[in-house]
Amino acid sequence: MKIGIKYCGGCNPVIDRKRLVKRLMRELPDDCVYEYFNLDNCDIVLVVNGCSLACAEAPSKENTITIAGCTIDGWTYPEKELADQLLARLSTT
Amino acid sequence: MVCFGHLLFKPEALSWLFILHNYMDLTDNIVDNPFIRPHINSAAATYDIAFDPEYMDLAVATSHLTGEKINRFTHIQQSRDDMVKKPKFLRAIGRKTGTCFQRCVGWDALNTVYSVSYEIDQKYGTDYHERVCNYVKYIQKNDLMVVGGMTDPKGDRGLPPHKQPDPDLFVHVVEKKEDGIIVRGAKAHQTGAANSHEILVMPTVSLKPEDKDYAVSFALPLDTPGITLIFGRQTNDERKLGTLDQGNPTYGVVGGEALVVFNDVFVPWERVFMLGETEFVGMLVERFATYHRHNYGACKVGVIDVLIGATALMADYNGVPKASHIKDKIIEMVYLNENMHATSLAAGYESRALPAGNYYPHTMYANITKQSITRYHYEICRLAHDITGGFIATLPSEKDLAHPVVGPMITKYFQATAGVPTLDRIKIGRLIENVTGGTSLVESMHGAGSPQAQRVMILRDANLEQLKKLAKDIVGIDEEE
Ligand SMILES: Cc1cc2nc3c(=O)[nH]c(=O)nc-3n(C[C@H](O)[C@H](O)[C@H](O)COP(=O)(O)OP(=O)(O)OC[C@H]3O[C@@H](n4cnc5c(N)ncnc54)[C@H](O)[C@@H]3O)c2cc1C
Repeated sequence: MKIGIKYCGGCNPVIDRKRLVKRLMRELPDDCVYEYFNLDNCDIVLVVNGCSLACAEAPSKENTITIAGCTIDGWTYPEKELADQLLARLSTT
Repeated sequence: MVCFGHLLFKPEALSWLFILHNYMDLTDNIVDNPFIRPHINSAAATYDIAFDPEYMDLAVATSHLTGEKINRFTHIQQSRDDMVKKPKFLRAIGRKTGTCFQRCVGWDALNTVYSVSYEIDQKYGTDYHERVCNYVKYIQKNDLMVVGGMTDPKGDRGLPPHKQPDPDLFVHVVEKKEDGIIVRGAKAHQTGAANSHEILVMPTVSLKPEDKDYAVSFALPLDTPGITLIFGRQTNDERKLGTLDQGNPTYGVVGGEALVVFNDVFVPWERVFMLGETEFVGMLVERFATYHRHNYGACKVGVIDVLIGATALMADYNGVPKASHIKDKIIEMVYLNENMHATSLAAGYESRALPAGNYYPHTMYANITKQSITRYHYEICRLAHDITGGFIATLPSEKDLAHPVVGPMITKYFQATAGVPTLDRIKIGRLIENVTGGTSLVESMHGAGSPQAQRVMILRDANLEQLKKLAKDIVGIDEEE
């Protein structure tokens, strides 16, 4: 699976974006490939915003999961549950 | 010329860097000079961040001149979005370095001369703007760091340049040649000068026609023959010869300022962006000041984020995080800090396009932002000192800590809450000392202009006549026709 990662600029994040993504990378299958720049041909794009303002623009609405602070696509979770929630979603992609 | 001190010769050019400390154990390698190295690290953060996917959304922009991706520090702002991203970007870096990262001054200088050169050309049919565009392209392509050279030594502040007993206290043209000009004078307090590639020089005060020779703007590499850099001292700078006592050993404090002296330096025509157009100097000074004041609710806010974090940690270490007055003081620190960021963002959201097409912050909000930092930074530091306790003023040195006899005593008697290593408490204490110290506060006071300079602008933009009319309308005082 090719996973695109688009971060916001990180001016005042309320979550640790890097740690979240690192944890996903650690737990996702080894054959996953990660792309930061050309997000057009990804199976799924994770838009990782540090806060609820969600400044980062998603390349498209399709195949996108938007993390905005402690929310995933608008649903709120404690920060420590974000990775598990995302892993569960990615496993069905 | 210098009777004490250490002279560093830059062999690639006939320029000199003087470091005026006669007791330093220095190498001849400028890059590893302990007085300069932290400032280099801090400037390097502005390069690293543009290659880090976590920050690229803010750190990378697209050049309107070439269409290429560029470091935002070289960008000519093209939209309100750019003007909002600017303070967010600066805050993000300030949170990483905990100090000035030096590169915004030159960025503001580029945006200033880009706009003013266009307007001079409109009036006089000169080709300054094309020269500036070529210069900007060169800076963008090579990702260079530019010093924003505005402040002259100024001598007697009550006198214009031509009336100064010493004519060199403002940078001026001493000769015009076929291929360029010769300039003399100096620029004071130049942030990042010792570790920048270029300097972009601009006049510092509004000028009358009698001061035509002082109405000059140009750019030069900092190792141009005839340029001398004299590196400034900072509070506690001998501590740079150690580590722990510095507080912020990697990035230092403030921007490593230098006096940049131009001793009859040649500037080729393609690097001259203003020459004698005195009526545009006031506009230039105001533009640069406004661009730069916008930043203080951003970079300093990022630095204060670090300070607030350190102060809250110290409250934890000292075992008082739940005390109501401590919580209230931390709330006050956050409140003041976010106020400054809010006005900086407002200046970006209310920015406008200048005739050259580049965007310019809202002058009132930019000036309010800078005025606030001249006051709130001091208040925030007062609160940090209050919460931290007196030990940051009396801590023994790192050498004592390493001593076999007194070291264990220090570790024992400077401990606080159980489980917190004394060393961690000392590290955070030193960081607080660094961020709240003299050099850091003076930067907030005078950088981008002393407080009165903002108050003049605030009064000018206050729209007082309309406000008087509001009051008259409410009580029914007729306006005279
Ligand atoms: C850490 C730091 C970094 C800096 N970085 C840069 C930089 O990168 N580039 C750059 O160009 N500049 C830089 N500056 C310079 C900064 O812009 C100036 O310090 C500021 O404009 C004040 O000028 P001054 O220091 O000469 O103080 P002064 O002008 O001497 O001001 C001292 C006091 O005198 C008052 N005063 C001055 N002139 C008058 C007058 N005519 N009438 C009435 N009152 C007056 C002021 O309001 C102030 O209260 C930096 C300054 C600092 C402290």
